[in-house]
Amino acid sequence: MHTHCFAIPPYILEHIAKKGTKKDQDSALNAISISEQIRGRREAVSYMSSLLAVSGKKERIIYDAKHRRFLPGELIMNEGQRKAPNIFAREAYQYSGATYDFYKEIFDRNSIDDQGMRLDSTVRYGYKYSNAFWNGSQMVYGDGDGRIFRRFTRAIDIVAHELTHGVTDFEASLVYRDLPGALNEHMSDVFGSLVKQYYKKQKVDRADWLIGKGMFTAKINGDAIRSMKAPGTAYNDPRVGKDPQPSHMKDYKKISEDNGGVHIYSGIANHAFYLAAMDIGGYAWEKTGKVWYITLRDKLRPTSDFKDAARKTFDVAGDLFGINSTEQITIKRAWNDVGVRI
Amino acid sequence: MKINFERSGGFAGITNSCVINSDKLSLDEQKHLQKLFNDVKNKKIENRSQKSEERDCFQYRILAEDGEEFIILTDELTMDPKLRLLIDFLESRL
Repeated sequence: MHTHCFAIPPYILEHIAKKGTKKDQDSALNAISISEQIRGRREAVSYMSSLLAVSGKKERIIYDAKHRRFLPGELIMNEGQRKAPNIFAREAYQYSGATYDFYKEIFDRNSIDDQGMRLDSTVRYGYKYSNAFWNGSQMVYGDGDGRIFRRFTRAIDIVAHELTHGVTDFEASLVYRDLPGALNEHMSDVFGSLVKQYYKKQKVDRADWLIGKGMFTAKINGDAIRSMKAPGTAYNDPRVGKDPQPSHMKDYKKISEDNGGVHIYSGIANHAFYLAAMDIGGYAWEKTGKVWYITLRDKLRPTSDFKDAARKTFDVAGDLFGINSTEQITIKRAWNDVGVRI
Repeated sequence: MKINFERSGGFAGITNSCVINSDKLSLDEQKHLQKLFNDVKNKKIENRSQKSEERDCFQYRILAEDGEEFIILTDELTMDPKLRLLIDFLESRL
């Protein structure tokens, strides 16, 4: 059975998915998945989850790519395993667990898809690979080259950032280009930072508001990869250049690299979140983070940009805290301060 | 042959680029680079897909002047294996 089995009625595919041989089940689920993507991934996953056994609780798997570029690699750690085989696995396991706990305890969200999706991570990907990414179904981490970057599992906010890309894919499904892409990156930075703050039980005035702190080696002049507090100041070194993030829309221009600057212009929205969170105060995940989460989950669409995000966070703050509440006015002012008018 | 190579994106969003003039490479390196380039050029590799699900991966741009101008834009995970070999060579020059 191949993908052309769209011609088979859905009720037959569903029957095969439930009752067929393992091979037929896989083919049927694949066909259902592809056809359902036309209607949207969230609905597809919800529908498929009803056909599949989902644990409904935290479940993590860690693979080791052993410095090759093949995914997922060799299975080296399962949920509940007490001893990690190496520091890369320990960090990926611990921090993906902390991210799961954050989403469950704060937003009652059950994993990436809100259906108990297993959290798969691959460590030691590539040779001296200086990056971490989400490939559409799992998280992947390199060791870093040891010259500029250290291992990418060492920062909890990077792990939470990657996992949040999965959340965004299942919710707003923001297009990964230009301003919708920068909004996608912004959401990953926001929840990356919030997971770190929750892990450390920090109020807004104790948080460092840095993303990827300590990722650069001692040879590089840089505290972190990004700063939500002061975009453009995280690093400045001849070997990596200067942090290019702006903090205001007046510095936005269309570019071709980095998918239209998704990691560059996210700094504008990051700074708006920082300003709002600092003014609202307390634990950032309680009010400001809640507004952003509901906006991501329910309000944004694939082509939403910063202006849409500003309007929607303003609306959600009104719903949660009241029209013209301090929180709503603060959020409007924060967006205004970075050049995004509501 | 002159190659302008750019790597952007990744989690850090740092853009690195370099220009490689094959005349300034050793003879062995020149031959190796020409073979890698021909393998890619002859395969008519498609440029990057906008539908990719990759997030935080690297994005590459190669502009080669080899009699004619030849541009490749590609994403990290979806690229052709022959192109991977060429990019590995170019990345080692960053």
